[in-house]
Amino acid sequence: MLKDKYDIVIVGSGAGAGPIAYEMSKAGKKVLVLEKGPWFKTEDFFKDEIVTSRRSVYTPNLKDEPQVIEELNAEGEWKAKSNSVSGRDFWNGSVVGGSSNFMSGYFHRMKPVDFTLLSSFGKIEGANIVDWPISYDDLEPYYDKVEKIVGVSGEARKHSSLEPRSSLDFPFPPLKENIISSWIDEACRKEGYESVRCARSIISSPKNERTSCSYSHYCGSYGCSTGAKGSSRVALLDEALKTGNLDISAFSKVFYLKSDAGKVTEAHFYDKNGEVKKVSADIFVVAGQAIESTRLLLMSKSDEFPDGLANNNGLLGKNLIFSGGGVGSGDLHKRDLVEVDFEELLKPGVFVNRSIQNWYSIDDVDFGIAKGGTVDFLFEHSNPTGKAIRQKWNNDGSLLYGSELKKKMKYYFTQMRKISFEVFNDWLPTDNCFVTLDSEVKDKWGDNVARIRISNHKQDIIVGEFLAEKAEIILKNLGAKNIKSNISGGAPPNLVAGGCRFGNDKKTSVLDKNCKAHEVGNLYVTDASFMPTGGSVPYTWTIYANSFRVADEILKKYM
Amino acid sequence: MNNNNNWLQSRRKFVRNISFLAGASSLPWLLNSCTDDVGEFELTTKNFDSEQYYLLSKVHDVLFPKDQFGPGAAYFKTVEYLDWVLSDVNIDEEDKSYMLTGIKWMEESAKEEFSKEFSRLDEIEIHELISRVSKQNWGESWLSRNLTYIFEAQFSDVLYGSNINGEGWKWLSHYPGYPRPTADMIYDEIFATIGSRSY
Repeated sequence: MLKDKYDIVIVGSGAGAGPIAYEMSKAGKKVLVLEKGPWFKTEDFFKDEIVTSRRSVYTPNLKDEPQVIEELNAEGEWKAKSNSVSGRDFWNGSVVGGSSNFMSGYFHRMKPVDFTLLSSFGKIEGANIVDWPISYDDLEPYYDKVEKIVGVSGEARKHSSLEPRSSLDFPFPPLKENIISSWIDEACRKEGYESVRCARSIISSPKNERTSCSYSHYCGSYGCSTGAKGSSRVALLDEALKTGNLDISAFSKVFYLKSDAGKVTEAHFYDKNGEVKKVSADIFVVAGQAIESTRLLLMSKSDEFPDGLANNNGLLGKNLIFSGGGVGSGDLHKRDLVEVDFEELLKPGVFVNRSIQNWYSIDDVDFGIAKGGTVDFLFEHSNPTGKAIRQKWNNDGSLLYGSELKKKMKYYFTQMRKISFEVFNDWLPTDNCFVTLDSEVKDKWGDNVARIRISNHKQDIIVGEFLAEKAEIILKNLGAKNIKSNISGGAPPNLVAGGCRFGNDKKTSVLDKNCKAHEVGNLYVTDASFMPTGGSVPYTWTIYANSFRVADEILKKYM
Repeated sequence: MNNNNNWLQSRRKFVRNISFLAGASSLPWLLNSCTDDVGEFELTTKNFDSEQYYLLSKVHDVLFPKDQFGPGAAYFKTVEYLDWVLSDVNIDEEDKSYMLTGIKWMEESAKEEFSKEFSRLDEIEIHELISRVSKQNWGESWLSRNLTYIFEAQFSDVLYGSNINGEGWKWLSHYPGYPRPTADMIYDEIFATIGSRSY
């Protein structure tokens, strides 16, 4: 039974929400988390490709909850289409714990240079680059906290771009690795690269009720069946529940934040049966992932905020960012690797966990000076249907079927393994990447949906291609064939940030440096929305760290 | 106003009269598609009549035959799997209609190419027909979609009833990962199971 009033109400339950719930409930505050999706527990997650990857179970049906995607067509015109028609799904995990349940957990800290992108590299025409209002040193203690509380495994091996650390090493030792990890080390050594052991938000030894990784062969996109993966749900919300101060209300879709005299007074939400409920609190935290957090504020209009809550400067939803870069891969064939035990390469479950960050900041004779990025190496996902689908085409693009298809599948599954890489570089913020409310398309509750205009800066592609070239050299060195990469301006839906950028100037930002809305006395936004630039790494560790930082600020202010 | 229907309603109903949870080997599936005499079938599919069933069985056999590499579509009961897919209350109506329209187009193509009904084609003619339509945009797309469902059928958990004895994994030495789903948490049941909980 929910109370009518809490000390703090949090909208959303993912990486931006968990640290607030954890710290506030431990500090004795009464906390309510409103999550629009269902509540899956650790024991509810299985290795079921149909549920996880072939149907929409953890994300909404797009007919019920569409979003409108607006992009430039070939003629240079902006064209908008509901994703209930296009199928371009930008939902990532509408369940308790959010998409942190389904992340792969490649954990990189942002580096000091990411906090000073403008002053370090200068202006880029067409890009709204700014320095952050906080420094790496401000966030470092919280990166450290995440390692210990959420649980990060790895090894702080010295390398030229290793971030300053307050702890000597990670609290959890590295996960078990496939034989290919040592091959990548050797390939990097030959090429003069530094091979970096990538940290993972997956624990390698037990922590509280969480058991260590079982190397089940299915990790990314899957909810963790052991609790090893550091989801907000298992690492933070489950712990916070033990205090008795946290209520979690699943199937609770917040659609309006009522405000009065510069403060939010109530959250209005639809419950499981579609009935409207209201709850009041002293503090409100929004963490529904960048697009939907912006949408909620845009929907929360009032006389004081006619264009949406905290939006009197018109910046709400602007400077949405994704992650620049792309993917690449090469094929390792048993027939080409006669001197090694190929069965070791095929060994399921164990990880690759190798990255290169030699070009996090590029200073290259031919390329020049620019902000670069990260390359993570990984095996192709284990989902067999996904792997098989990629085999049904001949090289000329025609359909392959019959025994020839089966022969190809047999070879693909037993005689080779695809090694892939992912490139992460900055998606520069521009005037043409933002969120508004669509004026026509509505969700199943009758509310206007988010309209997402997506456009990337050409620099994102240039940098991504530079990094992919470097990564391809490593694949070649490994003996891979059919090496290719695809760097594009396509927006990865699971790597989204911005829209409520933080800053010291009320005229140029939505949130202050502590992620409180400039214009609203008790409203915080703690998912990735605050990020004015995204760095060149996946966002989750930074979201967690920043949310812990904001929790401290809230406690300082209100305790 | 729509509420969270998916999570409130049991979706057992679209498993038709067959319990996928009872164990695949004992299910009253249809005779396999190698049998020519469709008249003797005990037709249990919800979305296909006997002629459509026959056509799909033949097409799936050509797309994914039993051979020296491993079991074929008939073994994995891929037509029944497709019937299950089309019975999903969440399926996009356009997707469903597309799969059914493709059957119609195949029947029309048989008449155009061989001047007879699909059911009168011999094995060689069926192979030839599929070869020809696979070179047309609609045909390639529809056959490709069928292949995707054939893959889903053979790789899905054994509880779904198609990947019999896990043979879909075994012929490719695929390690399926653990834990495997429980009966109350496969796609048919997961919405009802989770939705019925009170928090």
